[in-house]
Amino acid sequence: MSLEGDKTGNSLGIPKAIFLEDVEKFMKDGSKTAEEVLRKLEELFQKYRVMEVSLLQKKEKLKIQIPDIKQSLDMIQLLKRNKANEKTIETDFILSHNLYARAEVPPTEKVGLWLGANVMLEYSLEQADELLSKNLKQANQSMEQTDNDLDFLKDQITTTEVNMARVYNWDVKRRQSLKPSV
Amino acid sequence: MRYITTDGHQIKASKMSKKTQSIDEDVHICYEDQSKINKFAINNTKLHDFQDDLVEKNKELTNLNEAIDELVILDETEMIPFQYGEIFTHLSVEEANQELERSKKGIEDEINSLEDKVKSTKKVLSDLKTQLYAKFGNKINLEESD
Repeated sequence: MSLEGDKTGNSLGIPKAIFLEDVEKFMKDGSKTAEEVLRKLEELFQKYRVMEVSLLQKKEKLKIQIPDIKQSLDMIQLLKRNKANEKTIETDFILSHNLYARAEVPPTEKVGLWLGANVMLEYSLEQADELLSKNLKQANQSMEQTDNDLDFLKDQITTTEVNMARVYNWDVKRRQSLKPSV
Repeated sequence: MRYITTDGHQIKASKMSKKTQSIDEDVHICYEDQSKINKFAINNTKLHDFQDDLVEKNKELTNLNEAIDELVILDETEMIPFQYGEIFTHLSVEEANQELERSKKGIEDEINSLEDKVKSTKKVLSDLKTQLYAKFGNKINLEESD
């Protein structure tokens, strides 16, 4: 008995939920009990749910990451403009939470980018712009991919839900048809 | 009888209550129907996502508009701390206004595209609804249940 289909057609190798075209035939084929089938469906359903939760978390992370990158890009645009106009800007920068200090930023060509893992690297404005734009593009692609995966997963979840209901109903029907003869 | 819940929707896949024991009354669900139900579920989730985003963006737009209104009151020569991420830069009224207008334009574009998406998603949903109700009648429930 197979309730899971092939794992192609999506990036994560999620098995496809098989749509039960004919519940009657499916149940008769391996003389399975409804309980058994329902248990398997429930198992599959839970697996899909777990995957959905982890994908949703990934999406949430990206939702925070993307505006962050955009903000850094905005900042670089500002520095570029100041460089072009040879203009010094006054800024209040955060020293600690709710505490700001004033600093003058003269026109600059270099900017430090926090790469993570306690590493900061100096880039020229142009290079920083390039790097951040690339990161933004990747994040957006990743977001799109996650959305596609979620859609795919949602399909499987709905199919499994409908399968469960139909097998359940099939069993109710079967038991009712047995009643008169008992 | 068993109900299926899909994001605030109850889809009664097939109906078998004690009163209706007749098998003939069951409508057969074919693969195409299943696809339609799936599509409905996905689009319904999307609609909610879009609508949530729209609320957020509209909030941002209101904030920007308020900021622009405030700027008008200020003396032209004044420097204003303007928030960029975690820091403030001091901008002239004119510069600050430009920055705000730029952000506003961006948000407005996003709102417009979201509104289009909401509209087209609603259209897809209502089309699917018509088709599914036509086939399953009262055996399927696609209405929002709070």
